[in-house]
Amino acid sequence: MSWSLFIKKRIDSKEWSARLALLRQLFAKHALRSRPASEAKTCACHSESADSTQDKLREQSQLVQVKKPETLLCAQNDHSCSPQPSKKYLSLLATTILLLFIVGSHYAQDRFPRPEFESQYQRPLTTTPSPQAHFFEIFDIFVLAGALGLASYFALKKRSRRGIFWLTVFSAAYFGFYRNGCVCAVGSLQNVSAALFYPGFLLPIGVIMFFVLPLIFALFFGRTFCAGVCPLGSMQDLVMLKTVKIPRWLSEVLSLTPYLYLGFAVLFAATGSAFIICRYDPFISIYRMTGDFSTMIYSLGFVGLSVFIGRPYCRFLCPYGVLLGWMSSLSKKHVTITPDTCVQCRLCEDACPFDYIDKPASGKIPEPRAQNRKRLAMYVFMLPLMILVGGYALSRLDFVFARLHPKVSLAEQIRQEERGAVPRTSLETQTFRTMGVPIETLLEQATEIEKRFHTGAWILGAFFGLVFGLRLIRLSLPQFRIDYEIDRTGCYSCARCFESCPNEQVRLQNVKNARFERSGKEYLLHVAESAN
Amino acid sequence: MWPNLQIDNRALYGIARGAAIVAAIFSLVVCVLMVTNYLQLRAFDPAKNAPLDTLIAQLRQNPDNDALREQVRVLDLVSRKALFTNQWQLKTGAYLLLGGIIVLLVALKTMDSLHEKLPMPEGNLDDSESWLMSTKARRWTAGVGIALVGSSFVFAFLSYNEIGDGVGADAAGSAKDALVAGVNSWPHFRGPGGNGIARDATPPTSWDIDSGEGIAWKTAVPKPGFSSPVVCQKRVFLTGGDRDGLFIYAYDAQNGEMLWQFQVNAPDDEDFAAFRPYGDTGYAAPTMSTDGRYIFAIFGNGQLICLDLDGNEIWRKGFGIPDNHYGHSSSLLTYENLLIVQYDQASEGRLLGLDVHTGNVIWRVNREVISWSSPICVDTGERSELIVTNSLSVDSFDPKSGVRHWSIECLGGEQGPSPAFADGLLVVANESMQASGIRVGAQGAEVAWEYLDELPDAASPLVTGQYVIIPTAYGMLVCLDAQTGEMLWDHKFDDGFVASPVLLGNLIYALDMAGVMHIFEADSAYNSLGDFAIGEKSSCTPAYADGMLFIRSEKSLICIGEVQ
Repeated sequence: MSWSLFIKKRIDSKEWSARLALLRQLFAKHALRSRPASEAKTCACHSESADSTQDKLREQSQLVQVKKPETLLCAQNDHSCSPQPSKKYLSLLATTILLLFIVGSHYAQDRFPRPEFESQYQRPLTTTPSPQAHFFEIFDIFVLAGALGLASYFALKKRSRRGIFWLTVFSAAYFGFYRNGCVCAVGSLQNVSAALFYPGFLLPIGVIMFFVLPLIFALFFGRTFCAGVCPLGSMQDLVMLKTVKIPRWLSEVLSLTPYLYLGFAVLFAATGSAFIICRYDPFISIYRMTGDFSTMIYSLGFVGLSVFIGRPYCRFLCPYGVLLGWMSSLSKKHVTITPDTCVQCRLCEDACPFDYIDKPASGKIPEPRAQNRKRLAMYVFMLPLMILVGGYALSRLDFVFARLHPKVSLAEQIRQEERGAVPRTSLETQTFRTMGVPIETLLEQATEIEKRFHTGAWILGAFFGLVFGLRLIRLSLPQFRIDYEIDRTGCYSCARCFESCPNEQVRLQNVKNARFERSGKEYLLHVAESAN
Repeated sequence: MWPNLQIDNRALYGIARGAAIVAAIFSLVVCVLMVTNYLQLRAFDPAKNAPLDTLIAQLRQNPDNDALREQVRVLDLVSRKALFTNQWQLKTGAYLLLGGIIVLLVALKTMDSLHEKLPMPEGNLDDSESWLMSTKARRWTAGVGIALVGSSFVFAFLSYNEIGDGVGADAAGSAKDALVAGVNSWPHFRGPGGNGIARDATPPTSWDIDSGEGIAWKTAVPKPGFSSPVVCQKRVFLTGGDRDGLFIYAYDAQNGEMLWQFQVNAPDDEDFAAFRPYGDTGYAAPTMSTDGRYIFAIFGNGQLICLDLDGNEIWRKGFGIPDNHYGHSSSLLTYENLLIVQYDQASEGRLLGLDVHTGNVIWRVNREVISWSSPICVDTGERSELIVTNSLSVDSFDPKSGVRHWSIECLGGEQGPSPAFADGLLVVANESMQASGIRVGAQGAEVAWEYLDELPDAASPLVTGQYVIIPTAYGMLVCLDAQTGEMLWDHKFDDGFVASPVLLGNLIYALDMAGVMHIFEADSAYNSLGDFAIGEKSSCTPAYADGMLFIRSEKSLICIGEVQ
């Protein structure tokens, strides 16, 4: 094939035509951009030399397009002006390089030759997926803030269960199914933990805001994030039908699990081992409509459990709920069962499916006070011991926890292979052996990681000891409460209990009457106006 | 039937109930279909198509066979279509299920809201009940806390730190030393996993026992035994025994110096005095095993012992004198933290998984049928499987739990040869039955081919990947195509084989009973590199480590190669 024929064929092809069209556009833009300053209408201090209307229009459109990058300070007057002539050469150079890339890419070859198909198979065109829009990261923050604001408004101001419900539906649909449950506030605490211990760990603004915003709102308004914004809570709330009441003592014991989960999540994230909250998220596979069989069974099991037990994940697992609970207990405002004063009608006693309504208590206990004081003193005295025992006990398991770290796991596999304890080599060990890194180096790194785990396990165990000790102390304190009150630490501000309060019914009736009265007045006014 | 509803709400309730029933049935049907689909996918994973793999392997051997190529294409296309259809079905099913569940939930919630009961508080407010609950919660909290602390200690005690025995610089140092010493160990009978394969080996390929050329050292073994050497941390371990007792010997792999010997049983020990050895197996036929930390040995009288590498006793167990008409000969095997013991007898035979640290039984499988072969542990690509033969069948177990994966009855008579495995092919053979090539995959195993001609008596076959080597007791050695089981070549040697051949690098080392090592390439034709005598008769399988070959002869332990 001669060269001219080759060129002709190329030019005839659709692909080449498209490229030429693109080149023409680029040239046209360049021609506009690189016009002499004397010809361009750029600012009032330069004379207008472009005569034709077409040129004016073209120029105007170009100015709009390139205004920002080409705006410079005029040397004579303190305002924007067109670029200096030297810039145009740079611009020309850039355009030429760009053109070379475009033309060059046409002659680029596949890294591996494409197979020749004999079955008339049409090879699909290579496409480049568009990158994840940065827009969503920012947009999600606004959606989260808006949802939190709405949840707080519905719970505290409007006292509207219906509003919370529809917000829950929205959150499940948007944060869950549409955004695939990621990023979520619950998982974000791992990113924050990792960033605290690894200065190089990238913490995007979206993750920071997802971690911080719900906590800030909880500090001001209680756990309105849990009410209808959290996608995990939303899923459980929406499937909840007939809840079974869990005995209070069992609920108290199970509610210690989130502290354990929180501790382990921070430990593994801080040591760069794993994000266990994400790994064992029971709802992510449902939101993403994917997952292997065992994962789906696990997820569906949790959903099934949520039908009969109110929010089992939130109550007995959620590690972020621990932080929210702390904030909520200090919150400036919080939902109340009654909008007025409690009349102790007891109608709200069973209104909370999560058992976060505390009954009035006189502070009396059916045992001698001295005995209880003695017990309380013992717990307080033993608190440091519990912290120490907890720390020591968990520190003994440092190497077991460290196995979750990929490097330690690899080192263990290598060791097992080296001493012939396993008949197989894994892909990881095979890859490691091809890297040329001495095994001793790997072992030293693994030992260093185990050291970090040793310290982490000590702190974690001490934390667990503290949690257990404080819980024992709290359970030994006699309760004194005049009215039915919401447990501010646990309450999700879901607004379910409102309607059971007769005062709330009165409030709603008053609102309805006021609305009716207002609309009646408006009607009379309208009739009077019409008559006039 | 109808709850106490207003007339207007009854119709809505009825609609909601009907919708709930339909949605529930629909969701259930979709769910069942999805599970069926998943099970089908598991049973036949199009991405792992054994017939296709076989055809591709055949095509590699016959690249000009157009019909075969077309067959591969058709099968490949069918597999891909099946995979994508399956994925589409699962995805569509998931959406349908989600829709069904949403309708069901809406209907149920509607029903629920239509007959909501008004709250009716019962009893009086009572503080004491709340306090009792707190007391119970307190006790449980304390109990759970203590249980967690206790379980932490127990778990820590039972767990072993593979990297080091603690944290700190010393641990790093000891871990390093152990590792350096542990490179290229030969931990069991027929090496790692018990498959007789060391692909990265660089073994010696010639020597002269008379002139001593190529011989690193030769040392006398005090007591006889059929057990083969195992090598770990530059130490060679052997067992031996006679009327004077049962012994374990440790030799320095560098110079053959005996480092220590440990007497397991003295002549007047109860378990030993009553024991009468059989000529075929003697006192010490089973080969030892090591996991790099401990060494384990079992003897003809059923005495199992664990020592550390310096010869200190860790624990021992007595299984009692076996009811076995040839004597006990199955070798030991370690897998992770388990010691696998195949203790076959005429009755009450058992396969055991013991904790290497304590000797406690972790799992047990009863064995109904006797054999004299040894277990092997293989990697099927999906999991590790413990393969064990008996005189009827070959069985696969989970080495961690002893749960049986599969069993195939393809053996008969008295089973002496151990199974062999490489690249997904398991070969079991028996002189009085046949040799069977079994393809082992994620979904189980199936017999790929059978071979009936030249069969082994005591020596085990060897699978190299492409070839299967079968040594016989009468000196015939055959090479089969691993894919088809067709015989590629055979070679008659002067003496028969009891020791099992091993693959070191790409060379096969087969030691005959007269003590001549036949070295030849693993190839489709017999390409010999030579026959080299060791100067004494031998029935023991050679061991390889650090470029050296360790061979036990009748009275000696010989190290061939250059000391590293």
